[in-house]
Amino acid sequence: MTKTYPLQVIICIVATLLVLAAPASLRAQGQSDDASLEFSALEAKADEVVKVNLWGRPLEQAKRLLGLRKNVTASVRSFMSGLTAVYRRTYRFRKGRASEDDVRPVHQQLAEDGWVPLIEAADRDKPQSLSVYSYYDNEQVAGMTVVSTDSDEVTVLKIIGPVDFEALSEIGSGLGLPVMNVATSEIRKLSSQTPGR
Amino acid sequence: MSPWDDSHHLEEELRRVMARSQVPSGLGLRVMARIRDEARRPAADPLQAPSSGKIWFRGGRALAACACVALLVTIFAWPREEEGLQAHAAEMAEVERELVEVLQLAGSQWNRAQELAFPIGQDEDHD
Amino acid sequence: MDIASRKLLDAALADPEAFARIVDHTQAMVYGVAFGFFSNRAIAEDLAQEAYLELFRNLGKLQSDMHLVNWLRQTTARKCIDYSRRKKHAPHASLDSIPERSVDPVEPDPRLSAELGRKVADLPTKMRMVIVLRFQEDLKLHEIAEALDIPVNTVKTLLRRALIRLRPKVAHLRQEISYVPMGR
Repeated sequence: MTKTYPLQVIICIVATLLVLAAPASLRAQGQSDDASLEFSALEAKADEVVKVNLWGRPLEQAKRLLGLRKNVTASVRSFMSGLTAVYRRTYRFRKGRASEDDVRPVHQQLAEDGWVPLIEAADRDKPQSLSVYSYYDNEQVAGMTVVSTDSDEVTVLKIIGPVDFEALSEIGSGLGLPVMNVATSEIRKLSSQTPGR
Repeated sequence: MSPWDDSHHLEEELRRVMARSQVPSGLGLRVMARIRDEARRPAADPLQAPSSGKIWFRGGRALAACACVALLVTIFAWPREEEGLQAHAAEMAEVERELVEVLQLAGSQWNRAQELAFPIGQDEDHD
Repeated sequence: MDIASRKLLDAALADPEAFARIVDHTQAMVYGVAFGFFSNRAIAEDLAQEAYLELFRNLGKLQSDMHLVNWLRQTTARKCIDYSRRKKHAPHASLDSIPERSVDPVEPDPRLSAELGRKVADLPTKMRMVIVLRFQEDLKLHEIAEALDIPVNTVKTLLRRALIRLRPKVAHLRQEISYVPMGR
């Protein structure tokens, strides 16, 4: 745990630098992230917060840059091209401080906003849960939100745009995207939590 | 007939629902920061330049001005532009990294959710 | 705020503090129009900043402080419509921009409000802006026409069509809610 802490701090710093240094449109997004009702409980308790807002020109440029790389498969490239926004919030807590009560408003808000739960999974032995929601527009999947809760971390990921779950699965298996030396500890942590992997 | 079929009630409800949202704190400061950035940029409005003299003279002046600008750009602006481009490239690389990170996390979570919900592999392991 | 002269505009040309005061006085309207239209804080703030940048570039050309407010409203509305058309933006709220309009303390039913808000967000671009300007900004029809640079009759038509689109859905929802058992 102590080994991963510096990397988490670095991610936080990188996110902060991004917010400060990115172009005006991106900066505007970052600075407008006042804690809302849904995240205020989590934000108040969290020891570390990671916020990522990608949309508009920065997202388009990132997609274009990624599209130029060699290792990107056609299915992943096609999936990425349809994305219109990508958001991430990660709240990290000292052991045992995150509770389901803190996350409930997020689930309620998603349900009220028309997001449909696809998968809701919880570990009986550990305080872990994972919910995947999708958003439908004219019967097409137009977005996906993942809410994962561990005892020491809550992460909400929101992807807006048509979601190709096959391509997403490919990315999750470490395929389809170039190795960029990012969040390796987090991916490793996820893998170790997955049964049968 | 529902009372909501009445236009008056619908309009009242719309007025309530469409009430102005709160302005995010610090919006004014961020606006002013952008305005100051804008104000620091050199004004380049050709319409403001006084028009005098004959066409050839104006053309000559324009040529001389272009040469001066080119010289100044070469001396001062080029390295800065390069630095700016490098900074922009670094920013874009960070944004690209963020995108990859979020997609990889989402993909891993999606796979994990599927395995938690449909643990096919586990039965095989037990066998 | 004295809006009958060019006092504010002239002051803003000379002094950034005066410009900041204009921002203070008008940001609720500018941000309100953009947020009412997109229900997305990040986009609303970005467009508000863009509107003020454009104001800064055009300070010298405006006729009076009265024109300033109208000009800002018109510019914000135009930027919203342009952005929406360019991006074909679906009003998906970002992670923490889930609608958070000023809450009326005697709000009769939050579900009805949320549903109505979503239906407004689904309206076509110009129709949506007419609804925002009419019911959020409380503008008269001719003021909406001026802000959107369209004839008053077109505003009337858009408004009528928007209300027709919203009405049956609201009525339907109201009926559904009224049958929720008391014990819940």
